[in-house]
Amino acid sequence: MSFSSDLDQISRAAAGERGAASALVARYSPGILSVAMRMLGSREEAEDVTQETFLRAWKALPDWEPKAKFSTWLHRVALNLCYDRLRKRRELTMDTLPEQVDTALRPDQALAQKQRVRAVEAAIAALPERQSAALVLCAIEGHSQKEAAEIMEIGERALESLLARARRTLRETGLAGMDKS
Amino acid sequence: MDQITKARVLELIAAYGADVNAFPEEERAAAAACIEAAPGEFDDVLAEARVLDAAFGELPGVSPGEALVGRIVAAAPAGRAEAKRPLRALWQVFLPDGQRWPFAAGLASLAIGAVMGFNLAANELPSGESYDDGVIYAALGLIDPLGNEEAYP
Repeated sequence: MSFSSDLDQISRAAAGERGAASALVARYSPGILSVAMRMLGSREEAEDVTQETFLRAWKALPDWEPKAKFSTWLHRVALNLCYDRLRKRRELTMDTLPEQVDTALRPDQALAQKQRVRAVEAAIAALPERQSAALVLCAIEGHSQKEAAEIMEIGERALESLLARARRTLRETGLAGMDKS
Repeated sequence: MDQITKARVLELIAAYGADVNAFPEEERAAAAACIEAAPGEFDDVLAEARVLDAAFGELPGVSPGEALVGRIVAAAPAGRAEAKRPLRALWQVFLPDGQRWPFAAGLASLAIGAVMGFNLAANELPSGESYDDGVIYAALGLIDPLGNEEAYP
């Protein structure tokens, strides 16, 4: 979707046109929900983050200035909300849980596809937050390096470093040795 | 084509996986050429990266449910559309449900009433004399204010 089309719909949504607001939600909510779900590992929390992201967008619409693409801005808000939740979660569980979240299923035990998927989702959600964000944006959601770096407000080299560390961590947890049978 | 080192290709695979299309655009062609020019040299790292790529590829798509979308859209700004409502309410009085006939009928009644009233008023006084003239003549005793012309010569 083009930048100008976004601007047109943003101004119409800000003027109270429900159709334009619906179009923005239809276009961007799946990506936001997906990023939040991969990072948080919880559908319920991801829905809360998605809703909160759009509520903030609606508040910002009347004064919207296109300094960044609307999608970049939305993803940035969603990521920050995810970071907040992950930090709160960590503070709450620091004393009771081990540093690395147990994936419940050891990769070598994950025989069924569903179990493999759950193991991968859990392993991604257990990554350090910025590694997880970089991986989700680039490797899963298919954002370009430039877009992902803009969303995360970092340089492309820093993004690359996060991606490499995320992959290395996943390999070390055994995901790279998973049996697809 | 730009030159690229094998070490850089290894870095790219470590960060972006085995699919060259996921590499940064400006390094894609050079990296692909480097991999092709060194058969077997990148096989192990590429195989390892492919397993992770496949695992990511298996993750199911996520789509928001209708309830979530409904909640988000319901919270969207009302903006100027909301501000127009008082005017719309007033308009509704004249054009209920967009129907023009009640408004037109009211307007026609007003016009008919005005015409009839004007005609009746004009017939009340002798032609050429206004109501004010009549009051003055009556005050001077030149005419009977009750219209009894026989009492006055």
